[in-house]
Amino acid sequence: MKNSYLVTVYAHDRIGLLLRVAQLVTRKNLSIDRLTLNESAVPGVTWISLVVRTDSRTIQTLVKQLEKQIEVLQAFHAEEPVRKGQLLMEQRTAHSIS
Amino acid sequence: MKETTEISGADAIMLALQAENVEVMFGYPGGAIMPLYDSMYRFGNLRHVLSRHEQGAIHAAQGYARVTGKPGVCLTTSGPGATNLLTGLADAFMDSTPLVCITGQVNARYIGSDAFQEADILGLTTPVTKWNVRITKATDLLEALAQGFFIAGSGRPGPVVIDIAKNVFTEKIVYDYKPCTGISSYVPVPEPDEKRIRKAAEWINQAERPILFFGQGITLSGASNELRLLIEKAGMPAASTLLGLSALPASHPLNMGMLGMHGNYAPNILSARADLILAVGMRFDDRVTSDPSTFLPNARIIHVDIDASEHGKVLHTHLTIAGDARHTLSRLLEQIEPATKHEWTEEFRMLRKTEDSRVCDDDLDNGGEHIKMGAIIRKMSERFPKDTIVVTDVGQHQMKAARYYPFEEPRSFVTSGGLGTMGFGLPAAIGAKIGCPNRQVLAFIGDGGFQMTLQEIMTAIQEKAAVKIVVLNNGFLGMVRQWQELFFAKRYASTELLNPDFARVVEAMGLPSRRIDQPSEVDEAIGWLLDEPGACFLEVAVDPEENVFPMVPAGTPVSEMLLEKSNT
Repeated sequence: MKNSYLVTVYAHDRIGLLLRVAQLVTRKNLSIDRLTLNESAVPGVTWISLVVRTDSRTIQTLVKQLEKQIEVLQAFHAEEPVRKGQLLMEQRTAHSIS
Repeated sequence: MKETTEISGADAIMLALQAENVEVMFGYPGGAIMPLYDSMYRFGNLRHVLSRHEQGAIHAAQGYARVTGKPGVCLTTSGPGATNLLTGLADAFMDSTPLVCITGQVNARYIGSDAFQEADILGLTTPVTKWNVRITKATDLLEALAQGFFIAGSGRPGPVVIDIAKNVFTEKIVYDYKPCTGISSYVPVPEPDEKRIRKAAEWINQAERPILFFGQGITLSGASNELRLLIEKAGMPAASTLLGLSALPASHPLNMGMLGMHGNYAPNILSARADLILAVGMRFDDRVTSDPSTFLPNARIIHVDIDASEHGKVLHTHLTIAGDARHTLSRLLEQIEPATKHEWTEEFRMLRKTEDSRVCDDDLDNGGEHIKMGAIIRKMSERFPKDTIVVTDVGQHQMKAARYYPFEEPRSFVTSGGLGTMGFGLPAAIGAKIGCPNRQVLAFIGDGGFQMTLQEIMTAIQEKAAVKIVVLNNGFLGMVRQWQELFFAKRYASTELLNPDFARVVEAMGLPSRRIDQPSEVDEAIGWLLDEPGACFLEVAVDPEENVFPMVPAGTPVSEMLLEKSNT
């Protein structure tokens, strides 16, 4: 069964980091539904948060493969809570532009 | 004062390579990397093997790494020089081969401007490297080199690319190289969990029909001895993946052969009856499992691998242990009880006899009209030294070599497993010979794959790499033709090859060469290969339509392995 998963990655910041993360997601034939990238509270450490829709086995493999990347300090996932307000707004927007 | 202690980036790389005990590099010069080649020329103390194509250089570096266990070092220029490494990087990534590839890049100030011979090597190599980095200023150089060597060779080994902008080679830096001993975000060797080891030992002690599956992880961690002691103590039959071959002597009574599509009959058939699988240093490739949902229906599966991301990737396993194979096996060894499983091992021997009488006896018979691949490979194994390194290309000859060459010493089989790269064989054999000059290196190559990298014959000659090259020529892309015969009603679409007279081509290049096509010529030709002091070439015209059996057709359960062409 497919679910939305929120994946969080903490990694040493360097050129090519986002590419490596995105490439692993692409390898699993998934697309990224949402993506945020920020400097974390620790200088030099980037915090990446992304949402993908997939099954529980794929998300576990993806997270382990992210975790394995040399510059990644930590990667973990959680089932994304459905934010009703946001969902409703997105549906309205979709309706208005279609 | 400061100026006198500074050296160029290129000279610093040369010193760093020596600090990492690099003896030889495989490469091909060009514009962006010329300052490094100039430094190499001036230093004059590091061997450089000039290939005839960058793909040849990286496959040679792979061959070197696979037999020595040390990272293979590869140098190329920017743009096409670096893009030509991609196949070798993907191959090394799949087969866990340690490589450090230094690619030249255009000057930092031109990066991103579509400069001459510019390609986005960081972008292109990201999916096929364990780690990659672009260096645009010399002050970042030494740390990246040290990390590159550490990452390539530690934990589960893999290829690393260090892409260096041309200006870095000429910029001056203080040489203060320190080999890397750790990276905060990287745990190369996880410590196996004691509770899980106890549980695994318990399950092994309870099992009635256990099998140990082993892969290249045994070779990479140097666990051959621990593997042997464990199976002997537990009385447990063992079976190998393609890359696990040579980690356990073929002659060991508990070595039941190879798993997978063209592996041995007994381990494939009996894996469905096993009640316990201890899988060590292998990753359940689809060539081993066929359809994973039908694989190991009755077994509790324990998966030991240094790379935790392999756990649960293909199969649902019941117990996972993240750890180094040698360390984990030696801990398990202390906790398992001595046992014998005569009835169970006898089942393997019975099926082995079936395979012998229905497949192998015929494959190994040298008395027919044509020379058979299996027959000549087996005959060579009987006359070459026990520690000979066998290197193959990809296809039917590869499976025949895996099936019929009995490997007795670790690191004596080099083949492209995961990626299945045609053209791998010849350059990898040259690299293997350079890595182990005192061992015989015997390369089996098909006529298709040979034509992908045959220009590397000149590399073997120039480097005096005494490789014994055997091309098994059936005039077809044999493995594809076999599938066309079996699954596409003999519609041989683009698999028949018009070949040159290989022996004459290679002779013109400068190697002693011969061609044989009669079974009666085989013995004498093997003697000739052994007697030739340097590299030499033997073309063997083999049965054009010989097939590789047994076979698990893709997607069918391994327990339905076919011993011969089915009548359906």
